[in-house]
Amino acid sequence: MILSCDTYGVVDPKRPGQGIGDILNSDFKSITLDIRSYLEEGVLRFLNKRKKLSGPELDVKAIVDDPEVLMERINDVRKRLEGKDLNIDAIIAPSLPPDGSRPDLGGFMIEMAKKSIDIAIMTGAEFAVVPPISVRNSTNEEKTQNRDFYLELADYLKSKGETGLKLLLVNRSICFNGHFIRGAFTDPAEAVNWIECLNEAVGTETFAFCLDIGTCTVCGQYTDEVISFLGNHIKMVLLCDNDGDENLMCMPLSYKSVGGLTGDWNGTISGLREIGFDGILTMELRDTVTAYSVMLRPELMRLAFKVGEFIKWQIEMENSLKKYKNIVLFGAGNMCLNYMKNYGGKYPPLFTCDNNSALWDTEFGGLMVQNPETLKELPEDTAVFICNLYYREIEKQLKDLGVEHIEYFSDEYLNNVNMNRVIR
Amino acid sequence: MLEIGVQSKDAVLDENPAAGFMMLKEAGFTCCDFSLNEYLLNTDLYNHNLNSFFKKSDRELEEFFKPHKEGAAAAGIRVNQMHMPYPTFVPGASKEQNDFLWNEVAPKSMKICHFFGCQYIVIHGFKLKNYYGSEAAEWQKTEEFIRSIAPMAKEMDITICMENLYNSKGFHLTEGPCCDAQKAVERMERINDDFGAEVLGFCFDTGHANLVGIDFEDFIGKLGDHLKVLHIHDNDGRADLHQMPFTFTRTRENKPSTDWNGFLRALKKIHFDKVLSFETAPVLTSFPKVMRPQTLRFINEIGNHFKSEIERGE
Repeated sequence: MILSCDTYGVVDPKRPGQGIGDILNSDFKSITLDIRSYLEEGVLRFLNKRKKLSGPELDVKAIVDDPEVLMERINDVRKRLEGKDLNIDAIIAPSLPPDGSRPDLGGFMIEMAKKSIDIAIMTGAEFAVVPPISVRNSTNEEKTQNRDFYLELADYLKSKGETGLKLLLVNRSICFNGHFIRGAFTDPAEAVNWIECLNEAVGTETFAFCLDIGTCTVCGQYTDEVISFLGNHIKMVLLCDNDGDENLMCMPLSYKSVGGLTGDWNGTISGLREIGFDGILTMELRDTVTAYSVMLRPELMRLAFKVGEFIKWQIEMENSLKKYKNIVLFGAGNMCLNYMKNYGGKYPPLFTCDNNSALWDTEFGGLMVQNPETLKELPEDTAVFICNLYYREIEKQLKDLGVEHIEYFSDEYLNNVNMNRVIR
Repeated sequence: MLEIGVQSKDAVLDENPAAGFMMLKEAGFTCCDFSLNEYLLNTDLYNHNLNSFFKKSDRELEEFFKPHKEGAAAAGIRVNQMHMPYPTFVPGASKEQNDFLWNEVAPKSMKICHFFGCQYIVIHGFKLKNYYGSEAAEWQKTEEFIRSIAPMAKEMDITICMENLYNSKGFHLTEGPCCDAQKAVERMERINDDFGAEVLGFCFDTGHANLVGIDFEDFIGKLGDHLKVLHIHDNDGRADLHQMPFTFTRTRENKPSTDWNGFLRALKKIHFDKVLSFETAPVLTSFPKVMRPQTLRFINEIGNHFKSEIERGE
């Protein structure tokens, strides 16, 4: 699994140097080059409709008037990446405004989609995310428009020879008079059908899927159900948070209202875990990084990397368990019960420990509860998994006991939890 | 032929149901969605409070609702649909409560529906996805419940209608049971095949759909003939406000933020010919009580507009 940073909002399209530096300094090794930042939807919406053009409108107009301007800007990014430990693993093509207000720009968007394919090939990216030309995919006319669009792109890609590049469909929401509702490919059954039909039409596995979690949140969807249906068609996931109302791109795990995070992070993480997702996790940060002063950007980017690593670790939880011949748990509480429910069969612990002496030598969740002193003599290749929120305190305790392999377990994003919770 | 109906809550009162039904008639309605769920509130059930209403015998319940039935008949109002109390399962409640809901409240609701000569009863699917870990497991429980009352439905010629719902996580609303039209259709067809009768249909709730961004036109198109009843109401896309259509806008252009045209196109396409039923009781309480007749009249006028749009060109 690759953890990638979306450049939208992080890398200035006209002056990319500082943004690239911020990404490098935050330990990301992969970027998702987001062409949407060069042709913002909000700007496209009003393009050529106002007499006095703003700065962003002039920038967009420059590309509309001469698409080679886009290639020059991308080449600037490429040059700055030469010799750096940072790959461009994916591209996101620009999209028309989600309110469907600019069908006149359809032809230009097709050209930009092809340019995005050129950029993907040029940069060695594995995937090009290409939003549908019609954000609504309901009527025959809309479906025909999207089908023709994708087949034209497949032909264009084929004309480039054997590139290995895959084109990813992506779920989109429609802005209906200011209210975001479900649009093209938000129905996973529809998305799978489209991928399979398009691939059959072109005769190769050219198409796959990019799941935009922000769109799922705005559309109030069960992300685990969506992910489960899409399965291995998902090659890339765009991770971001929002208020459930607008298509914001805030740092994952950052948007909270009364009752918890607005995003279905439990569903997202457990869903990706269930399908054994091993593609690209892209952190979309536009609205968080632009909310803070640019002076705080380096710290924010490091936090973003850590958040991404945390999500990746949660998805790959089982990899931690696989590493060891033997497992012992620390904690005889609800987290221990959740471990046993989800992993106890496949990775049975030898026993568990707890600092509560009243529990020693009793059975809990199918395990004997031992005195932590027992950990001084563990079999070889045994790891202690901390099943308690007080991770850092317990880790110190374990180190003082001389435990060699210490790992954290987390039940925060398990979809199958024990409903009969212990209350002590 | 399309008719226009409205829910009885806050319009038809137990003290004088005849007057309430007459008020609906004078506002132009010919049908009523009877709010049977008002007699055992969901808020009470989630607090594990079970009142004694459904402990009445069948006979006592018929006696209780006789004035309502007669009042509706006298006013020329047809009770075309009603709403079963919900939920029918409360996680964490006593077995006694849950058994009572399943074994007493549900069958008695069916009998009340039959007593009124009403063809459709709306139920809520169980909201148990987090409890059981998947939507499929949640649906299994709902299906078990439906199958338990389906024999009564068949015998009484009632169609049980499942409704699209939402879940709340604080202020953020997400999809709940029956938000996948394709799955709903497959499940309805399978159960109806098993019983050899149309025991299960669908109630499309526009407000609930709007909260989770469902495309009305697409959803209704997939339901087709399985769509039996409607709960028509509007909201701001953020909270379940049950206001009348066209109330909400979001931009300075002040165009409705709910896709009413899509809704009407879909009903026209599937040749919907039943009742345009408004679930808009909160409108009656947000306007002053003295304006209740006028408010109902206005809701009815919206219904007439919908009717003429759907029937246009036929």
